[in-house]
Amino acid sequence: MSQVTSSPVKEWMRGVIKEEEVERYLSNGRDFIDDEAIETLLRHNSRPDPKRVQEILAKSLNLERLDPEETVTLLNVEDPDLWEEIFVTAGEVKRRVYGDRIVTFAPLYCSNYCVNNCLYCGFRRDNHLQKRRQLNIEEVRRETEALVSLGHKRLIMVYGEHPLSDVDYIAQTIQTVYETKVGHGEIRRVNVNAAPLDIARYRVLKEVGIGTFQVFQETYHHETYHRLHPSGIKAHYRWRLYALHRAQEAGIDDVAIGALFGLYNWKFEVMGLLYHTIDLEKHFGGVGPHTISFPRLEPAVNTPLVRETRYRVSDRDFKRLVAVIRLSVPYTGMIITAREPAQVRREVIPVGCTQTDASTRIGIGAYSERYSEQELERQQFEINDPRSLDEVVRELADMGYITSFCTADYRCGRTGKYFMDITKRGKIHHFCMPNAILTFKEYLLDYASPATKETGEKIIAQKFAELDDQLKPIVTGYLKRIENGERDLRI
Amino acid sequence: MESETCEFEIWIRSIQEMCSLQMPDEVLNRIAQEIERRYGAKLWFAEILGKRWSYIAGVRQGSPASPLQYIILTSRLGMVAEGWEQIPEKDQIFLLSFLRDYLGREHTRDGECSS
Repeated sequence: MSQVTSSPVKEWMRGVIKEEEVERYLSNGRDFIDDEAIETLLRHNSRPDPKRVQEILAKSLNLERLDPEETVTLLNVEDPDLWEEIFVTAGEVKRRVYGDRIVTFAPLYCSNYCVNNCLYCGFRRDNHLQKRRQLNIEEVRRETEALVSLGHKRLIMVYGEHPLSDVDYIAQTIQTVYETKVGHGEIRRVNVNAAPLDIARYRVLKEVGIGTFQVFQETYHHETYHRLHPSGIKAHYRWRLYALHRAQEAGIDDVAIGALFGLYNWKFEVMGLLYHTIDLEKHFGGVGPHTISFPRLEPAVNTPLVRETRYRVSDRDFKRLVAVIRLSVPYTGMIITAREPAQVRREVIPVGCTQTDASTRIGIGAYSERYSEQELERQQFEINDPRSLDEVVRELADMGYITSFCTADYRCGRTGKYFMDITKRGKIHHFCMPNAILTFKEYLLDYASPATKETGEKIIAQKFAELDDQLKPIVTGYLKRIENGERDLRI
Repeated sequence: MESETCEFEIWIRSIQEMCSLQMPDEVLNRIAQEIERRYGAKLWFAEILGKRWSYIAGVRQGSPASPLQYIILTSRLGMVAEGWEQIPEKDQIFLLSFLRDYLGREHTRDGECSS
């Protein structure tokens, strides 16, 4: 099928957007992003009083979500000493909720056909330098085998918006991933990053047991959004904005949001993410996003906008925005990816991140075809940290973090409202840490290099010692069973 | 024990009237609350979607120190139980029979998951 919008593609595009599935969530005909109100808040809360900042930090430490005025106060801090306090508090909040554990995953790009024309994206329709490809089912299986053989247990599968990668294709690829096993290895949780769907199509994905459905708004600023998305389905701001409302309504109770930092003022985007969280919680009984992502714009083939943007986020501001998001939504997972160079990940993970990827390849077919260099004409953007899972795991252990491959919550019925309740009460780490120990042990036994095994056993011992006494006999028993060859034990 | 079991059956039958008036998740919440009150066991109910057990209703205060039992109620619905062994066997059997019958009917009536 042609990448150019031929008649069949245009016909397909006409059937995607359902206006009634946007209007039902509006408030007096308006969406939840009031650009003017946000800009006004940002302007009028400059140079905050340190005492006020400390009150807000105390609220975050109590694991309460911040109000917009409180988040703006943090964003507008200029005093470097106050920023250090913010960073320390953000790290403490993360520890209180999740413990010193980092979940790891890999992205699997399945298709780069796209009907949209996002000016910053290598996949955009009019980028004729991009080599178009979609994995067939056998190729998906081979990619999965390659990922499983590295030790991954969790994937995020990524698709362009095109009739070739419609919901049936997505569902079929997910099923293929779940069915693929290599020795002890398998993928236990598949998350999806794809175009917004209507409620009926979300139900199709729900049926195949997806983990989280992820849609990034890219930019919450209305005018910027319209300028950067001139055509295609993605030009419809509100269709995208309410994508995860529809997903939740369809029964997918783990949803994920994000913004692409570098398109507009980073402080505005942090506010957008907060308002998005608030609106989801309002509509769905307190169940907001399972994770928040904050990718920064990276170079992509034939995308001059990336070099020309005046909103590029410095490393200093990147660390700040991550810390503020952590404090604003203390209980939500936060993902930092291999877009970021290793040094930045080292610096930023401690201020609140809970998940990261490794051994990342984002070219279509890149895991099984193993090309040694990045090929930008097959990729959406450039990766800055291509290190292996083994290297990243070892470094995280050196930093005092245990890498987790846990999928327990979604297998035990601790999803949606249940997950949010435990997390908001600060109790989820009682499950996270034992499961991190168990899944990390599996990784060390099945996949780790000798150096990583040595470092890994030390961090297991350390984290085991920190467990509640009542958990130790259970975890000890499970560890013995894992050493004897059992797998997939969970708490 | 015998009178306790009879009382439990009586209680279950009493909520059968409620079943036609309330949403399934409200019924399941009531059952989970009553089981916890009587026996200390914690139950929650989930929709089974491949590997995913997606929470529908029930107790939301499980303990990591307690082993879990996964009980399939229908092809779509399961129950996760913590402290299942604390429920007398006769009551376990009666409860499962009631749930399978009730949820089987709800599933058929709605044509999809009763949540």
